[in-house]
Amino acid sequence: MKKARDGLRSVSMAALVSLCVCGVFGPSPGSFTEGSNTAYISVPLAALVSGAAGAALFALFRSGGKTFPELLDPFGRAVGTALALPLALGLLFCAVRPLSVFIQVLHRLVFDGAVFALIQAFVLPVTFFMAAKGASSVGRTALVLAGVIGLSFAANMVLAAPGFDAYRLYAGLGEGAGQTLSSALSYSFFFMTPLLGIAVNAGEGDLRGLSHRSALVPGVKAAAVCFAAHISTALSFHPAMLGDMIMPLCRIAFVSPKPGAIYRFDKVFVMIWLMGAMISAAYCLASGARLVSGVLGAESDLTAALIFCALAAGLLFLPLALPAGLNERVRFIIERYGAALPAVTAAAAAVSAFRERRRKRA
Amino acid sequence: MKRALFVFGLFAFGLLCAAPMLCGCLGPVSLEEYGYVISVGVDTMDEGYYFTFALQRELSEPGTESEGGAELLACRAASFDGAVKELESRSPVKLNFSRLNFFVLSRSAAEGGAVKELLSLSFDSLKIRSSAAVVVAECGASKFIGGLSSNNDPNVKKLQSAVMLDMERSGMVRILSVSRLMEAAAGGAFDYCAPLGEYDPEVITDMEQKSSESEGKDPLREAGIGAPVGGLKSRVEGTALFSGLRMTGELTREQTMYLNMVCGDFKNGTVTLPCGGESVTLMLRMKRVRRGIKPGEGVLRAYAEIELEAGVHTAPKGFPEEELDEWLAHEAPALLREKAEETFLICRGAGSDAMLFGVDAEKQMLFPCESFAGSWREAYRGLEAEFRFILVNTDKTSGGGAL
Amino acid sequence: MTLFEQRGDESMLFKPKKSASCGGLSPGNAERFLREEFNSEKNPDLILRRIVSADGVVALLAFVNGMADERKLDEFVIRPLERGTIRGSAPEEMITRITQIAEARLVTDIGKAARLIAEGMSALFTEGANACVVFETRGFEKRAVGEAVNESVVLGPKESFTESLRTNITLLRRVMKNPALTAEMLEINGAEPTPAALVYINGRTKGSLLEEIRGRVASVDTDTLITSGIVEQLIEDASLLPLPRILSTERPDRAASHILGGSAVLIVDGSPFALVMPVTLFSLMDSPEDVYLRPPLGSVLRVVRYIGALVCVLMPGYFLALALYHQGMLTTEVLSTVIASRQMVFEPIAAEMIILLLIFQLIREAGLRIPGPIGQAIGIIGGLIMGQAAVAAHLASTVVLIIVAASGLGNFCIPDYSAQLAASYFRMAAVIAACLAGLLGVTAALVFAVSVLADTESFGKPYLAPLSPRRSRRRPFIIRGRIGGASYEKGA
Repeated sequence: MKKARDGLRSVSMAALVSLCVCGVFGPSPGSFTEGSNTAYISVPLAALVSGAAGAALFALFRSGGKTFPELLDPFGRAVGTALALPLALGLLFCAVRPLSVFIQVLHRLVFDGAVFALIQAFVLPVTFFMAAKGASSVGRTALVLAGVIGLSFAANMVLAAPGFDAYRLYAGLGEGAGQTLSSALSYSFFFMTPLLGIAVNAGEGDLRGLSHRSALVPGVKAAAVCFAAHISTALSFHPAMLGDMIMPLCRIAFVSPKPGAIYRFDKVFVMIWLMGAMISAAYCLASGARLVSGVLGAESDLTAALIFCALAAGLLFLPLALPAGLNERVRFIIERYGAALPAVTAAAAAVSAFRERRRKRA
Repeated sequence: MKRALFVFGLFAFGLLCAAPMLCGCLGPVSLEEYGYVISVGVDTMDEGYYFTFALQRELSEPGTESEGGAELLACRAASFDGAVKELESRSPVKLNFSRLNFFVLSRSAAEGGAVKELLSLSFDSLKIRSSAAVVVAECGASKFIGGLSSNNDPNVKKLQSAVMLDMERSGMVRILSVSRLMEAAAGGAFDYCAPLGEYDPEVITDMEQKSSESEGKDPLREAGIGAPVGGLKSRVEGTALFSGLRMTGELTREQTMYLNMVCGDFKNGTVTLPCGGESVTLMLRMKRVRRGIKPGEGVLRAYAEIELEAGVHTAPKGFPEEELDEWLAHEAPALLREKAEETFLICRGAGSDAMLFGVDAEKQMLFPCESFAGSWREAYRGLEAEFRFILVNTDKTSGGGAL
Repeated sequence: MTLFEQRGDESMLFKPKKSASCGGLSPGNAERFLREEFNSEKNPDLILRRIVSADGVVALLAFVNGMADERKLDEFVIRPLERGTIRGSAPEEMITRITQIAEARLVTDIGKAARLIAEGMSALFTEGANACVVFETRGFEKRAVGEAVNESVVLGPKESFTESLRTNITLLRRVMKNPALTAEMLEINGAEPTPAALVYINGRTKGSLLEEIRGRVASVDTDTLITSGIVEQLIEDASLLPLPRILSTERPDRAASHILGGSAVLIVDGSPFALVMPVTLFSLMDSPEDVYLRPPLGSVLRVVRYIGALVCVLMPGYFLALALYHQGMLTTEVLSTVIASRQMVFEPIAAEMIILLLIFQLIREAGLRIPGPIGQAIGIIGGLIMGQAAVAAHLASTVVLIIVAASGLGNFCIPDYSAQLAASYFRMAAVIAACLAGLLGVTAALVFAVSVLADTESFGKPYLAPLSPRRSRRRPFIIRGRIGGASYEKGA
């Protein structure tokens, strides 16, 4: 696999796309309806908090002078691998979750009656192909498509604007500020995980570029995008209607009282956002592969990437065989407590970086 | 080794590419195999419902006589799904609802709670867009749909949309979409109201004129003086008020205009008011609405202050200008207020919060959110409302004519 | 450095395929060798002219009839030799004292001399000499500098490259009067060793790029006759991508602008095209016309061109996806019209689209092959009459025909011929993807294509630069930037 030729810039763009996609489509709409829809507060807050935490972590990693996988070396091969696994699992889930949402949407709204596996058969090969080429390659793809994805978000919101009604926000904070903050903490899983992927993919020559800005800027941008997306949803739908929806964002244009000709482009928008989801999934899978192969000392990331792709395919196909309740339960647990996964690995790497910095100064 | 890896990679890639083809397609259906339903009508029968579907006929090739128009399919069925199955079995095409423009309910269906049946539809699986409009037809859905299409007009969907848009521009119709209906039904803080349609069999349409002429007759002479000539037999004549999922009342077109004013959806229109034994026609344009709820002790009072720009369209000849200005500043607003109050009383009497005061109550967080809908409906029965109209005389403020 | 040292045979870039050892370069030996080499018994083209100098020394002049300029030989070689005294003179004195041809050099290998004779030069062999003198006497008929056929512009120069390497280098030098402009001579190993020139500006073009090009050219070893098209395929980055990674242009001004931008140009003798390296996708979409128009006009043209390219590639697939899977996205009017137009068409809409696309390609290829005015007429006949007849015979519907035609027009907006062909292939792939999975298939194909392109390089330069990867400072690539540097003061 080729190395990251263009340093962090390409990877950062892929990370930004991933942050936006995970932030907008990761949290399930059903979780918004606890009293009221406060996702437009909790999700951007999660992005900002993750960006700030990431900034502090990146500065620490940079001062350690080692790449992220190397920071886990002092713990020993076995323990280091065990410490890397939570983040790897988190990346795997962040790869699978948006894809799963889109595949459900395609099955329900677009290809009525088609088998899930058929839809997956068109989405997964391209995603895995990108993942196998590496995060910097995904980043270069993201550089080309990010503008189109951003424009489609904006266009969808502009089309839906006549249907916005502020009264739908007036259920306020629902069960209180505490619930909103707790949700923000949970949702930080969807931001912290892809953000740490930037550190994972930073090679030795990229460490100088791993500044606090390289976490803070994507965090702020993702917060803005997520705020715009979730506030549009909140202004368009009453919270009670969100429980049945998989992707309310794609329907907000239909609430508009005066839909013009362009509102027919809803499926085009879904497809463009699917591009973002594929990029996000490929980035997460490539980052997970990079992490695991770095920790295990492998020469090439390709084997790890193929394994991750196989796992992702399994996670997408498996729920079809399991009872729906079990899927919901697993998803709920990961959404609620998943923030611990990247936290464990990040903490271990931070401790190692801190020790390394002290050793250098001594 | 390199070559072997390359061949393997190529094989794997080829397999990946071939996988979609081997799996088969995603069930494509060519567009000419569908019949596109643009309107659905629901009438009640003794048992079940009578469903009417209007399908857009295809337009013929350029250079030949335009066909177009709508093809009507109708049947009796206990449910919407049953109707679809029966009509598809009789028709050479599969029904496609992605172009659906109107859901039309007959009055009896709306009063009887057919909205619940409508809401139980799986809009996703039928691909019905939530922006489709809901209409209640006084005359019956089937008749209304038949009268809202013209065989002489090839594009029926455009015709229907134009009719509704035209009415909306007049300020005398409130458009209701399926999404709004679902929102209200899901516990939104308001009741919805739908356009109320009527059918006039006396109207001589262009098609009837044409067939009369082809038989060598003069359609106007046949009809006689005073007969309505031209246009469509179906039209929208007011608003159907709903309380929950049932229709409980109606408003005339004029009353609907006042409803729109209070809700802030009125853009421009004309009203004719009595003035000293004569009548004055005013052109009105909405400027601003301020509204809310004043929570008092025991009684909730809603208020709405409506500011309109007013220009005199027609006034009695010889009426002094100063008196007209005086009338416009004081008496005209009072008359408008009376009309608005009358409209409110009709809505309250029907148990329908069509004026959306529940939205204001929710904005002001007057009730706990988990029990809002129930609490508000209880409180609405005793709600008082104050209306205040301010008319800005545009004839005075416009600066006169050109030099 | 003397002329002799500059043109010393050991430092010569020509590497003869076979080196002959025939026991010296005496006229007798040379005559025997050359007769055998050129198969003089059957091939009368080789002319061997004995010249006797004023002091009785015999010399042999060898050249090919029709390739060498005999008038030049007569005036500047033969007559001076006949009048001169050359006994005991070293071969370099032939150049400096006796003959009067500007370009001449010494060659010690008779095999190399034979090849140079075959190229149109003339060789002089004298008794006792250890080298022969090769004169630049090429005077064969060649095509005059004409107008660019495939890259015509309204404004701007009209000249185009020819088949002569020397002429092409001259054309470049006329555009760029820069002493640092270097035309490095290379030889490409084909069926016959073919001379080529690597043209660049010394100090501006990256050394690593030049090394890469030299290495790739040196690695060419084929039995095919060398033309620019063959060289392009042999030295390009190995990949199955149909898009070219080398720009082939017939315009000197276009090649010169790339050289000024830091690219290198390879000109192959016998081909009227210059190969520009490296190249990006966006430079393939640039037309020479853009630079000669004002920025707003040039920008509009470029935007239209990109829209045309997108229409070419995506519109048939998009329409097919909507027709087969997403009918709700079409307006009622379009739906009704399409249904009416397809009433009696027997084939499925997907097959109809594919067949029409193939027919369009057939008409295009036929138009290229048939010469002159008849080709234009065929295009019109094929396009109009066949299309009309197909609709009347219910073999095709009007809407699908219009979409295919619009896509074809969009294809012609792409300036580069190879890129046009690549776009038409991707269009077909998008159509097949749309048949299989509607917009999902088109999306997957698009993402795949972008992913492959994002990772593609042309001689080390990313193919989608400057869009991906991004540089902190990048020049406009779709909108045409202003040409900087000129300042005009009114009244000055």
